Amino acid sequence: MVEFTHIFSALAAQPMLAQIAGPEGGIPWLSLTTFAPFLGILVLFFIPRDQLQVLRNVALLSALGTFCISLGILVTFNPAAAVAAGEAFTFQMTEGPHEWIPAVGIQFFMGVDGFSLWLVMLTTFLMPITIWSTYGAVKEYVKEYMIALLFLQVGLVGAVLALDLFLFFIFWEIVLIPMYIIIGIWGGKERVKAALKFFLYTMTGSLLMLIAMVYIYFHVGAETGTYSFLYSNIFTAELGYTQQMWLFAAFALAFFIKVPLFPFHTWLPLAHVQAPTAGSVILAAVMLKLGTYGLIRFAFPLFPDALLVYAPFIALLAVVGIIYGAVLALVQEDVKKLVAYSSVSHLGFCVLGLISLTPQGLAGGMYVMLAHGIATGGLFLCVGMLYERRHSKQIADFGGVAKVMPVFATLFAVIMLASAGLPGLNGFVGEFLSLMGASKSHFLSFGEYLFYMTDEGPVTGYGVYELTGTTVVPTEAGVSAGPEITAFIFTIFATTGVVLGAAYLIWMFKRVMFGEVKHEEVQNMERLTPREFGVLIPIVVMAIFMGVYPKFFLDKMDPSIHQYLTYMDVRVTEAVERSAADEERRNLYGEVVVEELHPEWEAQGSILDMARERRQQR
Amino acid sequence: MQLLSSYNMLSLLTPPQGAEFVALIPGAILTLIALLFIIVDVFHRKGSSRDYQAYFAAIGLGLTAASCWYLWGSGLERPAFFGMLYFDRFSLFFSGLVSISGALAVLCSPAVLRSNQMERGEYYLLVLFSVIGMIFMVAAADLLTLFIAFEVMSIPLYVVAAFLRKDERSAEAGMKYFVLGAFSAAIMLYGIALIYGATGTTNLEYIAQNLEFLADGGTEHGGYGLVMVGVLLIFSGFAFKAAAVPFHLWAPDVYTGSPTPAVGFMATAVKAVAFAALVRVFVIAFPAEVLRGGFFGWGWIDVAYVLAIASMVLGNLVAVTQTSVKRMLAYYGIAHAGYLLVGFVAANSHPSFFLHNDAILFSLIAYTFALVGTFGVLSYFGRRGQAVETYEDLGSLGLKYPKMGLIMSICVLSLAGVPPTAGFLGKFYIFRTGVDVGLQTGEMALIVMVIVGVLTSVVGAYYYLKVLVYMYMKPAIREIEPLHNPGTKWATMICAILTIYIGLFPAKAIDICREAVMDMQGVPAAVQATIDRGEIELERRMEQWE
Repeated sequence: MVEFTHIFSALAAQPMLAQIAGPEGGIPWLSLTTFAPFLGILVLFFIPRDQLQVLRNVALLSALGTFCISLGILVTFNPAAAVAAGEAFTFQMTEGPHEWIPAVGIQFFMGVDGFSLWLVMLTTFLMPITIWSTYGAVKEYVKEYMIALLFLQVGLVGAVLALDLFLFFIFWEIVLIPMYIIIGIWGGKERVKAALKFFLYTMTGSLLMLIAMVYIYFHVGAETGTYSFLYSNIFTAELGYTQQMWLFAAFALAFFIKVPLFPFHTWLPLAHVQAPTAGSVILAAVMLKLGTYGLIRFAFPLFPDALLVYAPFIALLAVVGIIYGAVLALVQEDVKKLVAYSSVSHLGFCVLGLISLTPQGLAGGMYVMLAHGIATGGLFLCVGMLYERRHSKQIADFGGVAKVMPVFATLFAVIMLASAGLPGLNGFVGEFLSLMGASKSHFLSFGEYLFYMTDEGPVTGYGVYELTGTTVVPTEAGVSAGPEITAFIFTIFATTGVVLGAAYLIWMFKRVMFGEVKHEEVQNMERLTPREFGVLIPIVVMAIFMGVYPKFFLDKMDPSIHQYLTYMDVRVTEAVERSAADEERRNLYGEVVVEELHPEWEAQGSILDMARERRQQR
Repeated sequence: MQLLSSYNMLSLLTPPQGAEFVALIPGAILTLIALLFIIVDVFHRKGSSRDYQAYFAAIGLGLTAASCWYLWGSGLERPAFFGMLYFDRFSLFFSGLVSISGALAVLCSPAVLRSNQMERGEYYLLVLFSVIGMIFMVAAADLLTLFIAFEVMSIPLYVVAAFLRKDERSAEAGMKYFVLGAFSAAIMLYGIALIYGATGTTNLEYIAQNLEFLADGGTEHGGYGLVMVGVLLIFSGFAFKAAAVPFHLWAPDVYTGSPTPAVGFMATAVKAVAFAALVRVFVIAFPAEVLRGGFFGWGWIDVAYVLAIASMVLGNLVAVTQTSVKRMLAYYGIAHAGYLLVGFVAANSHPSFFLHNDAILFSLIAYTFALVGTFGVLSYFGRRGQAVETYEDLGSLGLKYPKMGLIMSICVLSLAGVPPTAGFLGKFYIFRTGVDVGLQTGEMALIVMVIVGVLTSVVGAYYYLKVLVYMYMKPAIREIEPLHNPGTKWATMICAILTIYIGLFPAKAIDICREAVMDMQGVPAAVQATIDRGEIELERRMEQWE
């Protein structure tokens, strides 16, 4: 890999290529990764439509190529760059800002940090697998299918990397068109309804977000004189309380719909069930993450005052989502629907971790995103393979599959357990970190405390909490807690989601894979083909790798998380002061937990640097 | 107000200066082409194909558009011909836009006419004449020129609407359009008469001048009662042409009955011209605060506000229930008039936001290409006079004819306002204007209007997606064959490419819109101050970039 990037650096020295290189003189990895699929699309246009195998192979090669290019981001990404705390945000490999539409203040600006890095990698990693998985499943309009998938990738990667609010929005919306087409053309029976619902839900939210974006844009412009959608520029906004409440609502609505958070999730099961396998995989694994990514990237840091007010409610919705999704998954008759509801549940963990604003919570939230992408993507692939053989997704139509397809059963089991959160597999790390972060949170307070703990012993005089309806729970001397209890209660309820998660997944697995073979069709099911084996292996390997060696992933994002929390700490402290100063508002308490980074644990440089260093030492 | 000093009696007696004739060039080119066309048509051999006539007309219209481009830098400071015609970038912009719209529509036409057994040269001639009317209407500096140009534009279109005379619905369309159109023209003329009665002039700048005298002389509302009625009548005339609620009733029937490619032209060019004249007349002639009103002082801004919301809501909601694509597009046309009115209200509610009118211009560019492209694709399919009309007719056309399907998808997505198409930016630009002005003035009414616009455009996305649903996801019900017509292919392809291009790289188009708005002549002093400030700002920004 190192040699590979050396070749690229040598190429970048060419004057011709140097022109397209970014301002730092390096290779524009980000643009290359984002727009590389276009090359594949271009080639696909010129291939006759009846050459199915050629079309598939070209698309696969294009996706693999993009993955190789994205490795360039991974190896040159330097986690240590963000360690300098106190600064707002550090982005690397930035490209731009180039003027795009100067009249409206829109620029082309991309950059990567610890948050976006892994989402890009997740997308580029899953895309070739997804395309490979369609070889057997899609036989009609293969050309269009491949073009749509590659186009989708451009939007997904672009949205994560964009640092201009408007550019982000463009990519965010572009994603809808290919996904709409994928669900609508290659989907199941109710595909048209599902596609429409998906599109309209997302569009409603995002258009309101657009208005909010424009509002901030002009607000900042009027204040500072610089009219620009640039991320750094938007963050200079000084918004009043009421403004923040409305703007946060607009942003959050768009992201909640995408996540989807509990009451906005209704489009998801339908879309998942009706979408073709590849569509479901990308939808669950990557597209939903745009919502959570948007929350931490834009909605949280932009509106600290509003966040302070909304935080406990968001956490509440997340917890409700966790349990609700899990309970619904428990009763599903349809395997795909079960996996879809499990997504609602898992993303609840993600949001709960993110909103806790603790290092563990954020890391956990990010890790859930990745782990859920891998595991749920894998589950959908497995369901797809079952469906191709049995032409049914009903649990009752299966039973005893393990006897017929032993290898498949093993792989499916690993993926299923990863999703259920078995220690040693990737799901566990994320959920555990999220729950731990949430339990430590000092941010989720409703203002009026449900419980208050005080030292044991005779109470002298009247405490404030005796005048309100708050229950006072006496504790041992030296232990006292107020709002943290709220967070703790959330965590307790959320933890039941893990139990339920194990229950619905393992029960489903039992009903599908074990027991007697009741149906003749099951008996006749083909064994796993080498291609399908190849599709599942990377997922299984990644699930195990992420489970046993999470440091590889965490130490790349930790510095960014630290920086993020430091920034949020300042903003939230100000917000708390403001809320205390304003008599018309309730006094709100909230605190961001910032912990020192452990220098030995953290990576000191990019993978490439480390490799060089090691070579020199030798 | 420079008119007063520059046009004294003596100057009226002298013939117009040679330089003033430049104002006629685009119109004159097209008139000559049209006259030439008559001669060419005389020598047509009976029974042979008339495709060349379409190309001839399209080239003529293209020449006109090119002349607008060429004359971009050579506007006149003062209205030519004793205050009859403005010749500025604003008028050049619209002349160019309607010419392009006409050219694209004409290119799509021959096969449709042939399949309806109405292949006649007159069709192209009527389109040419109509464009001539439009070119003079956007340049009018006097209500009389305006009205004459208005009629020159309208009457050929009534005939075009009824052109497929073997089709009952076309006749119905023509009749409806004519009766209602004539009625609205009469109302507008009555408004002009009232204004003349109150101010003693029909020249736009003189009207503004005299209105000031009126305000100075009288008590609070002085002589404004009469003027206000006149203003509203003129407004309703424009609203009729723009198909804004409640003057929209003709639109669905006319759109359904008229020859499909011509609808693309009628829907875009007429709307563009109506808005050009609306901006021109109201900004120049009726800037008085009492008339303008503004958020429930019930002047013309408030009227436009109500119309904007009504059009957006009604247009979008009724479009959902349509089964015919043409009717749906008609109702979208109504909704789009609402969106443009949003821009109009925001940009003209105070003189200091005048430059925001560029949103209207940009939105019109996006709308023109997308809509002409959509109607072009619709006219490409069908046989023996049976045009593709309902959603069901579109069944799986996108998969059978991938190129046309792609073009249609691009155009439809642009109309729905989905990035990265021009239509998205057009809508975005309009809403952005509303938010900007609302934020600066603190008028929540504007923000409310924008939110209504955004929510209704989600409804719009629903019925446009339905087009895609039928094109790609539903089986074909009726056997539809394409009319082999290279012109349609080219025209629609141009539309689609431009839609995407402007969506991705709109900087140039926005610049053109800005220049057009900045160069508008004859505006009152307050607006002129805004323009000057804008120019300084622009220069400063240019320096910054360098």
